[in-house]
Amino acid sequence: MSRAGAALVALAGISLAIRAVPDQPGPAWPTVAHPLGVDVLGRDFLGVLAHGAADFVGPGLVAVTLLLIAVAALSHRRTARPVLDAPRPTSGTRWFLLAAPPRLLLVMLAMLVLDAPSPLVAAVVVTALYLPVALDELDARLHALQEQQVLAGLVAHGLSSSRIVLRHLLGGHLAEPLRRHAAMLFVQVAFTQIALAWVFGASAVSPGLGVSWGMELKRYAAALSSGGCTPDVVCPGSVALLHTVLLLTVCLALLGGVARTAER
Amino acid sequence: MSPAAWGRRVAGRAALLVGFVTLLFVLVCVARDGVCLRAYAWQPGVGYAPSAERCAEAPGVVEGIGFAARATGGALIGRSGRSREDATRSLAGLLWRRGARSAGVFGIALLILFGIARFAPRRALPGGLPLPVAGFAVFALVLRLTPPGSALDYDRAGILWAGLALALADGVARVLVDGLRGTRERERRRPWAEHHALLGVDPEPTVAEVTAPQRALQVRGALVGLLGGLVVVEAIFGVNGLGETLKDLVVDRAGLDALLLLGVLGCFAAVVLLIDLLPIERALS
Repeated sequence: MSRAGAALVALAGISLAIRAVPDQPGPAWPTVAHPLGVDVLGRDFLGVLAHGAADFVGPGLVAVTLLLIAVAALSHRRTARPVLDAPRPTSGTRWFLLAAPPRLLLVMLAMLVLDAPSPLVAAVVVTALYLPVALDELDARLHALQEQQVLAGLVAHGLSSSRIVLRHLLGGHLAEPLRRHAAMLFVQVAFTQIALAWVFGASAVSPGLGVSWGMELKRYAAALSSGGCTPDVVCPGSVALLHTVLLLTVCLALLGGVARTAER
Repeated sequence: MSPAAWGRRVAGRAALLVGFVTLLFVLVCVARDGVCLRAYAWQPGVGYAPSAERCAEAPGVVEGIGFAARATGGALIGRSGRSREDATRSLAGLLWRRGARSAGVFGIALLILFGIARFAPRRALPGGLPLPVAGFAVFALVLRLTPPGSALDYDRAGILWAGLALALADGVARVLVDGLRGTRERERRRPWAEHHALLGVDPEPTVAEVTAPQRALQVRGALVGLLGGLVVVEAIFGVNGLGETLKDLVVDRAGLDALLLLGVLGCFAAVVLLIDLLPIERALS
């Protein structure tokens, strides 16, 4: 896992310890009790960041787990027949086009069918659209390993199928493309989830969490335009500006960091 | 490709998309509460128009397919009907006006992407801005930097700012630029290209031709990705286009305007078909 991905998971983990509910009447600058300040709704901003991250980290990890299971099943199938018996059909273009329909549009249509919007369904739709792309490349790598008789060699050494799949394929020959595809899938799920939470309102998407980065920025944008600051009270517009800059920085650093892992 | 083969390709893709749209429509009709196809009645000179009848139960698969087939057929012969949302004008007219706004947002995003792909340094591109965040970052900047009432105010130039946000969001620009440049760079490093260079022959025209199909796929992927983003950016900047219409249809759970939904799905399918058929390979080579 990249450092940005680990930081995102850690940030989401903080949500277990900090609540993101209003406990103050208005905004406040950072203090020891609230290291990132209190936002315009009176919530601890670190809690808002953490709960917003948890809103997409959970579905993102579910999607990555589905990808791992699919790749493990594919590897197991190839390992069961390690010797090449037929040339690999060229299907890259077809698969890519199948995966090309507008992701967000299809997720929205899936939400039309459901009675209540679900973040996990969104993650599954995005995964179903992305899987063909990832499996096509990984299958090509497995085919090359068969061609070079790597799989036949591993089987001939008497290694068990699970050891070949887990240690030599997922943890070895396929590790680099798998890491890349997992990062790309995670980013796509995160982008979709944030957009979806914004469209439906955070509470409609995930009642237990109720906070999303997209929604928060919408609230801060409204506070940015409010004027009328007086010297004796904290100016909501200035605090909202600080939190907007912080949220943008976190987005660019963490989600951008995971996206860069996908490009390497 | 001969004209006959091209015609067969267009007809095949169009049939596939119409089938896909019908399938989605029927799925929504069957699965979602509050869909009432009998709220529309067929009028020979107009197509489907709102009626006073109300439904007690959800439509079945056959009723959904019949409605979709008749409405699609009617649209093809100029009888698109009138939707419940705006019964004063034809559905085609309504979709045309909203589609023009969406096309404006899409076109501006394309222009910005073209400029980025041509001139921007790779490291300057944002890779981690989700759509709503990018949209509100642009929104906040516009709010701060443009004086109220000016021509660039978000109320007046919403299409421009929505296009900018669409181009910057979800890492589309970064992935596209990286993909396009990386594909050419990889081809330039192949032995044949280095041989060409050593012999004093410019390898660029051949590199462009060889990589054209792969780059065309990347461009198509980016274009289709932008379509989905319309749903969010149009809502942020108050552009009443097709994306905003779809968002309203999804969010409004009281009762679904079935004819409008079918029309919006048809418009998006038509754009996907157009993107698929554009001669991008030829333009890139």
